[in-house]
Amino acid sequence: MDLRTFRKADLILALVIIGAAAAIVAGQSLGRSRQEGAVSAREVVIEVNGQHFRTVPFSQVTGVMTVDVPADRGRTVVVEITEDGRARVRASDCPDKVCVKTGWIEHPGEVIVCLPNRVVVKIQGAPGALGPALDGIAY
Amino acid sequence: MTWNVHIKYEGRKRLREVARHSWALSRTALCVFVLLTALVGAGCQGSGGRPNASVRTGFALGTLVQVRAYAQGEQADEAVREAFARIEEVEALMSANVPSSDVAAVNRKAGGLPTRVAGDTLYVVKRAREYGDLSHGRFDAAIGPLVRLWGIGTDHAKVPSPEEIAAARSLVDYRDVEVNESAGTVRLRKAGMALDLGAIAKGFAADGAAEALVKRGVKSAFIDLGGNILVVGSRPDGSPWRVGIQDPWSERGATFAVVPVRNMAVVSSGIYERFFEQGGRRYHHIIDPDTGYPAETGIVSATVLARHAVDADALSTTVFLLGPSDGMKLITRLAGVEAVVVTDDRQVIISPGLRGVIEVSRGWTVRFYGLEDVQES
Repeated sequence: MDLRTFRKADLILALVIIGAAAAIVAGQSLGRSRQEGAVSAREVVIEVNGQHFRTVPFSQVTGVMTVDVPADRGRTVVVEITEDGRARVRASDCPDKVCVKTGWIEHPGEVIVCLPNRVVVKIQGAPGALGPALDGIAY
Repeated sequence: MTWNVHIKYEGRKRLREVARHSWALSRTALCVFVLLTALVGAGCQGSGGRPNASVRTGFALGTLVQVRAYAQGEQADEAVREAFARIEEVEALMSANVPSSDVAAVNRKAGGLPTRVAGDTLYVVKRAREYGDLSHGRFDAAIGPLVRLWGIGTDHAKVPSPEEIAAARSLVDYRDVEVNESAGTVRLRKAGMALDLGAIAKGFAADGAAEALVKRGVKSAFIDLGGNILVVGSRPDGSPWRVGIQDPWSERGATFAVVPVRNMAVVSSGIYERFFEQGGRRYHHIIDPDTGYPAETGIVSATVLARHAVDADALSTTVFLLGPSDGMKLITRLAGVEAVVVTDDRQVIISPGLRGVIEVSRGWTVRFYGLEDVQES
């Protein structure tokens, strides 16, 4: 008699524990896939003077989007973002125009810098197969 | 006898109970084991096995700074914050453009009394003097008056008159930078002299940032101070970091070679970094202390690999100013230091220690210094 109740209690305990474990595993993998979904969508991040200015996910761009970035001393850096997932600095009030000459960027980790205006344009997202094989460049 | 039987009966009952109990216990243990396995398994997939990454970009030392660090738990964010703080500390001490810096204070008192400076500043000035000696004055920490005159990288860059250049040149000599280690002071002998640590401070700052990261338990990091690269350890997966070297004739970001490295600084000096154009001519930012004009040594880019960024930084400028032959000669004399030089006739000269390590793109003529054969890559 008491043997049977013991078994029942054990069975309930086992089910509860296995259920809890399954819930934890499911919860974690769900969280992970949600995270992966968030970063695999690439986006353009624009910073001015080390401060975040704007983030534009490519999914929100139709055609070509132009962003006027206000820099120091009333200067402007014009950033272009395209629907097909590229970004560039089209124009900038700076002496050397290194940022404009950099051209288009598209892979996560790629960066355009306008040093005189302290503007950074970068692509963010999961470094998948499209990502650069390089970790960085000495220049 | 009955006693005995009773005992026997009681004993059997207890035995049964104990057995039943241990059955239940072992089943509970099994369940706990299943739970723990699930938890540990889930934990490994989550954050336990792979370290967390922390990335931060900002401006310091007149350039874009990016620090990427990997560590277990929350350590990475804190480590990167401290690395940035260290870089900003070096900027506050050694930037000639910051009026409260040690360098600005030393420059204001040029020709006058010695200035007490921080231990870090003293160390960097001392190292800069060493590189002055090593390069017979080609690397000159007292280049300030010429750098100011040309103003390259500023809005007022222009070609100075020959008289202006001659006047500034007479104030440039690193041997007139007096370092008093016991008193902790630096003094410039002549009025009008000016220290400029621009060719070495970034390297020192990168080393300081790496130290801050390592102290916080970071074993894998990539530090980029405006193209001055310093890597800590290897990539999180254990493979070496891959550092590209800028192609001097292509747009920013295009490379002609890759070096796989661990615990190494990779620093380039090139004519393409900062320059201005006037009258159809290009004037780059690496000023020759002897002529007072942008250096023309036949090198368009010099990249140096060394364990510490302070050495790689100073040596990349030194090699650039020495030219291909003397530059490579110096590099092969130094232990643990390698170099990659691109000449204006599109030759790539590489120190022999990088043979079998460096990957050069197709279409470049490659020569390993000291070895006879020329290769087309």
